[in-house]
Amino acid sequence: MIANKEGITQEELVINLGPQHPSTHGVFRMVLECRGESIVGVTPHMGYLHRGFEKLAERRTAVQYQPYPDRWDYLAAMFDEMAYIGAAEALLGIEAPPRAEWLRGIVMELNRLSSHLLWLGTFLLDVGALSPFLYTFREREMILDLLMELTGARLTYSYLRFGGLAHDAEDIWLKKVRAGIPYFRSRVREYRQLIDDNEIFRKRVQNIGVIDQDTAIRYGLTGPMLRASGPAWDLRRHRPYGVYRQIETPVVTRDKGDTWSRYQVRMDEMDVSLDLLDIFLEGIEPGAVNAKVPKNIKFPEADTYFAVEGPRGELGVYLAGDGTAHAKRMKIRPPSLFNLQVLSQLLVGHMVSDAVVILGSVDIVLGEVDR
Amino acid sequence: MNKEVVLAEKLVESAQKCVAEGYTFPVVHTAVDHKDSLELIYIFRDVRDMDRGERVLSVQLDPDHPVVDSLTPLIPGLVFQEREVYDLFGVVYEGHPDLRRLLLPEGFVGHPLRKDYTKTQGDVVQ
Amino acid sequence: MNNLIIATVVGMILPGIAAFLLWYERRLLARLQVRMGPNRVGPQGLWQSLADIIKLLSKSDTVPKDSNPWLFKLAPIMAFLPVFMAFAALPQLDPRLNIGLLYLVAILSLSALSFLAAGMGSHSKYALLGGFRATAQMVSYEIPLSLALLGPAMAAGSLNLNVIASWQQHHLPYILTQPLGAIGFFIAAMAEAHRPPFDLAEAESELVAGYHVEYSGVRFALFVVSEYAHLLLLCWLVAVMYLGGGAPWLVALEIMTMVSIVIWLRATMPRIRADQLMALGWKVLIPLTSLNLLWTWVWNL
Repeated sequence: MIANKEGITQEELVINLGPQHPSTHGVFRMVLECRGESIVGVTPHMGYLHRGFEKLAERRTAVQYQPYPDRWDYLAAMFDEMAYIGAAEALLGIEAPPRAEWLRGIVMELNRLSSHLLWLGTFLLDVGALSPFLYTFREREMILDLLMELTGARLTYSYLRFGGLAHDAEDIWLKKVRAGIPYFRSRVREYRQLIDDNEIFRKRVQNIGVIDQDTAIRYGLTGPMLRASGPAWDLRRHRPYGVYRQIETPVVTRDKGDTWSRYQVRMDEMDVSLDLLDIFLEGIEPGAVNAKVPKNIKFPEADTYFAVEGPRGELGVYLAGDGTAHAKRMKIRPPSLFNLQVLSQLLVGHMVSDAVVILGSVDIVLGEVDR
Repeated sequence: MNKEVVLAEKLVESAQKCVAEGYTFPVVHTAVDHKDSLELIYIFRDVRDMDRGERVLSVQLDPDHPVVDSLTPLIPGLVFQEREVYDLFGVVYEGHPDLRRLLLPEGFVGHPLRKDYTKTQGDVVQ
Repeated sequence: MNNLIIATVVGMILPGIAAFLLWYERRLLARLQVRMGPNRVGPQGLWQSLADIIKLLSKSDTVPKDSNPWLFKLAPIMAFLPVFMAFAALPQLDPRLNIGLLYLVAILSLSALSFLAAGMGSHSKYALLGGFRATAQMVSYEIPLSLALLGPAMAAGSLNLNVIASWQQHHLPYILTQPLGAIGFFIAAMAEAHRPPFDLAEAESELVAGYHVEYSGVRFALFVVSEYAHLLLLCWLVAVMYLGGGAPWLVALEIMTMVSIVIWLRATMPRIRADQLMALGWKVLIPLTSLNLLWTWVWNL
């Protein structure tokens, strides 16, 4: 640190952020090269949470693999289940009955809400405000309680099954969800009142980490990251699956592509999720929740790609079978990993404080990045 | 899936055609080990035109010498995907700006998603 | 001799008040954040900070490898001493100090050195960045702080804090006659004490803990106690200089009100960025406090 008089040299300050840094949201690691406080180079490192889920899909049978997708993106496990089950159903040619599709829609939107709430809290923690973190956790806890009542687990639900669901939802549960929606809506409004017009917050996020439309598309960004830059691409709308085929999902976009836009897109998406929940709870019809599924599930010799719009973006599964109960190859398309690709470009020229904010606005989940 | 089977030498050319037609969005890139061959799958999409479907390119490689031209200079969104396939399958992408392992530690031996991979093979050599 | 006894007594009571403020902040912050806060040790958890300090005292004394031991060990004491020395200027403790304000400003700027020493001595890049940020912050906010303090001194015609405080007994308090100076002083004082939203020197989401990232045990306790003593000092100064002081219970009430406002701001505000902090200091606060000085001059013509 303290140079002697003769050999004073100048070099970049290399700061190692992570894997045990409080703001890397898990075990992400990036090496920042800084000149003073300005960043001139970024090297992301990942893989600290690699658990080999793609290899496991080749070693487990299709049914045995069912609980694993919950562990990819542990903050929005319903979407992982939907991606895996959906891909398998497409490959096997099974269709889930309507009530199952409605319920899948409900649990997914609830899960999206809880994931966005967690993002909001941790993002503001990155910006430096502690209180919203505790407020959003209060609401998130209520959603987790609802999901726990339905599925028996807080995070790793294992609720979706081939051709349907593990079990039906009771009417009283649906009533509870319906009763919760106005409350959540008022809370989301409260957060916007609390956060939106805060001068310091605006100064910290506006014009920070700008991605233009072309870069966003070429880097394969999806979800709020893409929509904040302009393109109105939402799989729920443009490649509808399940219950989304019956409704027209509104797509939230902004066009500046900065951190502020990403914040706004996610906040608006929470409102959209609540609107969708209203529609789903109106539309849900009685009936069976399980289709007829062969006893021994064997993937045919074919391949398919199935994607759902998760809270972080396009969560896809490429599934190839070879006539056995095991998958020949299963590839997960994790939205966070694609969204991270643009990080090293985003950070250069900003300050160390901004690095944390921008990383927070990307909304990564390391379970999904590293798989 | 409707795949366009492309020769490894013609891959860059086909990808350029895709990009020129507006399929600039990289959906996913992966490899499948068929034991006698290694298949690379590229899925592209046109995000600006919602009604056009995805385009799937498929390339067959020799599993003993899996070498292919990198598409990263053309579509930067493939940078981590190609690193991942290199990491897990051992496919070498020529022209990739930064071909290092993505998920496994540096010094790891073997490519675990290959069908002939055995557990004893994988170990970190310092 | 008499003074020595007073100094000793004050020196022993102040850490106690700092510990009380620590408890008060944790408790109030918790209530603002819909949680309980410490409520187990003693009535309403009042002895929590005492228990924390005892715990910290019993910790082993660690000095990181490759650190500069001199700087590293000196830094907490350098942070601790100036803050405690500054209390001597307060009218409730020494009403006769004629150069009160001058002494205060001079002594307070010394603590900037401690953050630099801690940052340089810790052999950690996070600490280094935190130390640089803290020093830059203190150096730039020293100026609006002094400029703001000059206003009341000019109006009262004395550098003695007691004279300034008692001047307000038969005039309006300065917060009404010099609102710009009061606001400027409050913001600059928050920045001086590294209170959120100006806590970027110890930003836990960026620099983990900033300049005191490598400290543990007694040395860490010294940093914490000096931080809360600093908070107490600045709230006390606001009470004396701008709210008019008065009877001891009134001063205590004013101090607690200011402390509550500071904690409330902590619960509401995100952290400001380093360059924005500098911009605020040089482009907003210095003109604001200079304007206040001009205004005071016109007022007293």
